[in-house]
Amino acid sequence: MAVPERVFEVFARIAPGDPMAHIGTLNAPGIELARVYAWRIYDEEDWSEMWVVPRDAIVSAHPDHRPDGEDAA
Amino acid sequence: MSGTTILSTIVALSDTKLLLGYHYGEWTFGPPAIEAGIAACSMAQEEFGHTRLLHGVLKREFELEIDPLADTRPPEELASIAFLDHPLKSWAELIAANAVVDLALSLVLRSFEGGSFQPLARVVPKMLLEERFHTEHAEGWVRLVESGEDAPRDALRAALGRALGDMAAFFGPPGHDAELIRTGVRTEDDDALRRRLFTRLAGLVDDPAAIGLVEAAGSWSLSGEVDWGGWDPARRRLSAGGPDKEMLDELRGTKNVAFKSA
Repeated sequence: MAVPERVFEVFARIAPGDPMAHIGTLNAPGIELARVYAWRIYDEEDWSEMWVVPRDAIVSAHPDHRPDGEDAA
Repeated sequence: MSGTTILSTIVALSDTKLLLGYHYGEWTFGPPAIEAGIAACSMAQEEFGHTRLLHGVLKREFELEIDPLADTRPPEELASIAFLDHPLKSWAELIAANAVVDLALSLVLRSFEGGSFQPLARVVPKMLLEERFHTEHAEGWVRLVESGEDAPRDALRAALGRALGDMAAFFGPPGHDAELIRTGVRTEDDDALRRRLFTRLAGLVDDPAAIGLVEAAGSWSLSGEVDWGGWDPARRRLSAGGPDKEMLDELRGTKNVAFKSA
């Protein structure tokens, strides 16, 4: 079975007031399994919060990197 | 009467979790993705941890010697579900064990959570917290395969059907655990849990009939009558047999017993 994979970025914080930190990436066929995999793979800390975000849902806000891929210059 | 049934239920839970942990561990390598292997390895650790917790209850409350219970009982005495008797050779079988066996054991544990047998009720919440991810893993994979190509979907459905048949036997004939309900040890009986399991699985697949489930009067059941005449309450099985001896030896480290500390 060819499992269609997506890349997910994983963010977490230890204490509730800490900034959210990027802690890694993973491949998963969907958000449901991405949640499970993230919690399993990045279990080195007692996280108070963890997010998984599909990489293709992230939009760059940098003026040099337009969402349409066109060169801003 | 009640004590014996609590005892046999905990032995069945610990035996089955031990075998389930073994199969998860075997699938650390070989799944469709490395992330799935890490998840399987992690679930193995948790099943072994749950087995140890249950063994602790058996030792403290029933004065059972754990080493013979875990390490030397012959295969035909184990009270584990038949679906786990042999190596799970395909990812479809591993997912079926995850989706059916693991979920069913959690349903049984939950029925003790609000019950009067405190030694078990106290440790159940920790186990169920870890089991949440086992269920999410199973459901994620079943939905994924169900939405995919025919061959893997058919393989998974066949495995789910076999697992459901064996799990239905594990739950036993209706009313066998009436004493545990009457005395408040458990809040839900095995017959209700069996129906709950069937309903959960029917909701996961597009065609419940393909995994052997039929609906009548709003309730799901397996097609075909079950003859409970040969049901063994101690082993929760309809037929003889047990885990492969070679598999059990590997699980127990039989070949390495000389290295065991005294």
